[in-house]
Amino acid sequence: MEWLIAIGLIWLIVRTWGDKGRIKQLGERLRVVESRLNLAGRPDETSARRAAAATAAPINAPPVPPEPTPVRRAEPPAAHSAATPAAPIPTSTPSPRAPAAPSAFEERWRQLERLFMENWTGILGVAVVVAGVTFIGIYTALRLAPFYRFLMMVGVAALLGGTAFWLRRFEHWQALSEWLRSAAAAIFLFACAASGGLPGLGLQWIDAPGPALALLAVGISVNLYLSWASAVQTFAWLHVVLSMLPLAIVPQSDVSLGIASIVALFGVALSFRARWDQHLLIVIGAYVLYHVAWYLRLRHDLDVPSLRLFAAANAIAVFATAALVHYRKDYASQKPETWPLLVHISNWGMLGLSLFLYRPAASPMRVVVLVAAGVAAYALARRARQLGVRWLHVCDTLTGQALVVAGLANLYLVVINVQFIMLAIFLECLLFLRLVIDEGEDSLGRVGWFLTNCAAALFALGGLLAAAKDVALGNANALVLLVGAAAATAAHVHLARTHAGRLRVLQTGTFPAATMGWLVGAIAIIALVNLAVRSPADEVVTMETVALIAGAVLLLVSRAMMPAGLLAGSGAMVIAAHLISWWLLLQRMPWEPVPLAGHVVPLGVLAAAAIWLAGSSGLRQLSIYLAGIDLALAAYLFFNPVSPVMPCVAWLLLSMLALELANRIERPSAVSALLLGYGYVVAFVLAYALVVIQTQAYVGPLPARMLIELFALAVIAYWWFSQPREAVAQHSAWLQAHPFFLELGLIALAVTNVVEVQAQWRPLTWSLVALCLLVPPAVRRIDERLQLYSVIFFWASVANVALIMSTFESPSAHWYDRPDLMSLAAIALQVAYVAASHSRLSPAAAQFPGGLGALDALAKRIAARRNLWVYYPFFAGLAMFLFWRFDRSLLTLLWVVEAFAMFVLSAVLRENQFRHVALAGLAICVGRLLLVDLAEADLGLRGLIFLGVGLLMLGMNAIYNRYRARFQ
Amino acid sequence: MNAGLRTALALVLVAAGLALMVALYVERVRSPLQSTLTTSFQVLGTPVKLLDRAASRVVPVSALDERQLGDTIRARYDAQVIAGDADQAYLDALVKDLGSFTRKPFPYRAYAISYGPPNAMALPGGVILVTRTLLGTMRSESELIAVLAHELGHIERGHCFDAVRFQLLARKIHSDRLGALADAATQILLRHAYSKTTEDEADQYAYELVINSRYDPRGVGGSFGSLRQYQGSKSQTLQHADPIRDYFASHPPLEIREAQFTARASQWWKQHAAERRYVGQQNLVQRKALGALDLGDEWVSGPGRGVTMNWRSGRDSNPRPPA
Repeated sequence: MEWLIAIGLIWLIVRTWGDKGRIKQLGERLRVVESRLNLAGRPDETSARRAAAATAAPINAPPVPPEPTPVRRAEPPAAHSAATPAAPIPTSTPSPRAPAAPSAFEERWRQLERLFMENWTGILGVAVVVAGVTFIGIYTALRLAPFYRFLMMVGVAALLGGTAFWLRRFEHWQALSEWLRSAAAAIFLFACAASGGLPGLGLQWIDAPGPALALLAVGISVNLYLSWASAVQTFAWLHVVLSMLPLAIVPQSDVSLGIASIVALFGVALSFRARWDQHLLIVIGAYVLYHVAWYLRLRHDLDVPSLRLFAAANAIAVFATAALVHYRKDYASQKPETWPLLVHISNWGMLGLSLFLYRPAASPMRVVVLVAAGVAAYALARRARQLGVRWLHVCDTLTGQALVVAGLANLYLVVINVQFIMLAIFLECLLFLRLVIDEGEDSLGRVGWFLTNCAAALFALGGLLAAAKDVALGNANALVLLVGAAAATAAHVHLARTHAGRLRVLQTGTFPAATMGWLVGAIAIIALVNLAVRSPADEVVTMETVALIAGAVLLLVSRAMMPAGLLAGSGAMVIAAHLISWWLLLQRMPWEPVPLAGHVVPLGVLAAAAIWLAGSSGLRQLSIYLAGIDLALAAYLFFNPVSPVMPCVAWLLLSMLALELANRIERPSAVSALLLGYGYVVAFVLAYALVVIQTQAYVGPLPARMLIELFALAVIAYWWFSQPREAVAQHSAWLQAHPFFLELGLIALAVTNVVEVQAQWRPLTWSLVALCLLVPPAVRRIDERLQLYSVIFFWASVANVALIMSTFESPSAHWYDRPDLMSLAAIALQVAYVAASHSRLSPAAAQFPGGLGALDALAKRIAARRNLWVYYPFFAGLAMFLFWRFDRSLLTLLWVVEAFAMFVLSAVLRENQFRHVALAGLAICVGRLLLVDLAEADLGLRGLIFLGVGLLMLGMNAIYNRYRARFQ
Repeated sequence: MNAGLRTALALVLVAAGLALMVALYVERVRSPLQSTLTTSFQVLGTPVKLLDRAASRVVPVSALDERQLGDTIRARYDAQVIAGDADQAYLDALVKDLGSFTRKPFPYRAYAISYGPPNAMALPGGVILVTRTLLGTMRSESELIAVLAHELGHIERGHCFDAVRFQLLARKIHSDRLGALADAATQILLRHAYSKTTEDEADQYAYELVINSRYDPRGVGGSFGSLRQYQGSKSQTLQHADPIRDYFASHPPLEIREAQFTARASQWWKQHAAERRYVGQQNLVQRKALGALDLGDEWVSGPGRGVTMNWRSGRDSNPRPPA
């Protein structure tokens, strides 16, 4: 079998040699064609040289620019490529019509086709040859001893190499020569590697590792030599990659990594000869793949520090060398170039990946290494700037920044407090911004500004998360955050004063120039949150004290330096300090006075400082509200533990204070004080509904609740009668709200009546109030609206008598508790009201504030038909009360008395309709007298009733005759 | 108003406010609950109650119709009374004593029933139901009298009549169910709006009655205290306002009722230091009314001399006086 293979090989060689003549003939024919082409196109350049140059062109080499085409030629320029020597020979006769230009798709297809033909046909050809030889080797492995197989493969390699050497003499076969030489080197390398032992191939004839490695080194050396000797990068990287391939297959050790690193370094070094970015990218990519494979296979042995250090050193050596490739004047450019930039970034990325893989376990050295690498990158960037490589300057500056940030992020190995690490990153970003802002490189400046703001935002966010998680570290986190806020403030002020113009250029839509000011406020707020959530036992100083100091400083700086956004940030901090404090104070109720003062006093001083320092900005008004709420809250917290109703009285007093203040200060602060006053009144109303109204205790002989109600009525009256200066009185806040104090007072009066007065006395009190509201001096001094409200109180009295008191029972034996007597007293007052209303009730002129239009309409209706709305309800209520309250046997007599009263009233008031109603009522009574009383009442009572009814009827007759004129 | 007068008024008001605060501080005035809206809803229920009462006034039925309905109910419970029942006999004696305070033409009777937690109910026509556990929960006869007076108040002040007015009307045309349906609909629509108002009316009635009786007025507040202690921790959940819960609560919170009538009783005692009033712890234990068992040491006088009542856990037991 071996003999057959040997014969076959010999036959192939002879056949190849025999084809020499045929190749020669083909070469002659090719020369004829080229000469014709030269005649037609460029007679000063040989097509063979062009073909060789085109074949060796890199993958990304720009296409050969089309030659100036003579007018008589109609072929497209691509048709003249030397790679297509079989192009049709142009005729001397010009085409009658030029063909259409190729479409974009056709052009793209041709480029791809040429790319494939010029590069990948060679690469694939080598691969196919190597594979074929491999297959033959495997086949013969079954027949020959391993050493002979090695010799056979070396022979094949030598044959290919010799062929390549021979073909080099011919200019037309330069490219083929190169590929054959590469194939030979690859086969030789494969044979050398397999001799030391490739698993399962059966080519191993050396058992000792040393000789095997030496033989492999020989194969690699041959390939590296060819790589160095190659004038084009395609062959250069091919041999470097081929050299690494067997190293990846053989058993891994530190030696194999070292050899691979040397190979990679050699490949990297080749990049210094020319702008071989494609070569460099593939070499370092291959090395990374090898390195990852090495790492994965040996990862269980990497516990040995020396091995890790060795591996890391290898990676650093390769990538650091690669990183230096671009620092040459060859790359000087103001515009970024795709390939170099891609290679450079990939290189940094791969260096970072390697360092990540071999990072020392929890060692602070990691921080040092990363920061040092970052500083080095930054220094390299400065070098690139000197060389004029702008893109490299930008790239390395950003890389350096990323490495330093990564190093600082690893501070967690040294520092427990995460917030401190974030502070370090934030400060570093500030430093970075300061460094790059002067370099005139806008892109770096924008990145610096963006990073600084992002770091500040993350710093703040981290503080917020820490507040939720690390409650025990509240003080420490707050301190770190405050330091960060101080640093940010200083940097913000510095930049605003020295680089305002640059900042305007660098600010982005996401982060305008004012962002830093806002972030200062946010960081300070979160510092306060950290102070708020800590345990009270950890309270060294109160949150409010810190807020006071920080807020005062920020406000002072805002006023003095006026950096953009800082006033808004400071204002937000002042507001947040109050909100947090209020939440804290309410959460931890009840308070002892002294600790409470430690919180409330600084808070109040902060609000006062904000009022003073805020100038004329909106923050001043806001601070007035904050101060007002502080006062209200302080009153609540101080007094509530003693008595829950005390804060309500305090709020009423504060409302008066606010009103007086509004009357003494200038707008718009006066309006703020006025609104505060309204707020205190609203707070009292709410507190009354929730707390005061349920209070049952006494102060001396009087209910505490009633005393508070009376005081509230007095304060509401004070508000009503107040006449502030024009500046306040003309403001809508006064014009729209103040008129309602009348209604508020009357509602308070009604509620007080219901709450404090026993049910059987209420009709009396309603009537009294109605009468009082109708007194002319009251109407004159207070408001015309009182007339309408007097009617409403009157109705309440009538309804109470008719519906409640008519059946109301009391177990009390005292006369003043008897509902019938109290009702009669109320009816007497109602009569008085009816009489008074006849001359005094005229609510048509009353003016009601907005929202009370219904009452306005009601007032006008009452003024128009007073009898219907005042008198008849009274008479109807009285009739109903008599019906339910007294014995039915007396009902006829009582109703006749009522009818008599109406009759008299009609005479007094000269209202004929009352007379008509009285007579109608009398008719009903007579009917009842005959139909009911005559049948049911006992004889004595019947007589008494008849007597009474008769006398009343006579009386009516007498009155009618005496005052006939009045009835007409 | 001129500036001088205004300033003077302001100073007077401020002085009054400060004086009031000092007074509140000295007296340490507390509210029964930290916050609640039940009292506010109770006040807001007053006009609603007025409107509801208007409906009762225009319906052509009277107390006589209510009494007829009460007779029917009474007959049902009379049939369940067991001869020799000490609780029933005790209630009969108490109600008989209370009869002098009533004004409605009803033959009042309270029935001891054996199911449910401590509670008492008033039905139209003078029928009162009292659970036996209530007799075990109260700590003195004065407290039990307060409860009975409260139920009397519901009847005397027409709350029961309002609840069945349409049924009474429908009885006249022999269609009770239709009327009951109308009453139920009205109750569903309006009851929550004014039920606290009517409960307060009944409480006021009870207090007035006790004040005019021979019993210690502290029994009114004490009865609510006993019920509150029976409820135990359940009442702790009412310390803060809840608009929904407070609106739909049928009764004012026991804490407020207890505080209200305890404070009023204390005031009454300050003004009537020479009076002597009866507590009746032993009467309740022995189920013998004051008319049948008048114990000298159960009479108290003066604001600071109230009988100390020790609460003992247990639902059906009254405290025993020390030997």
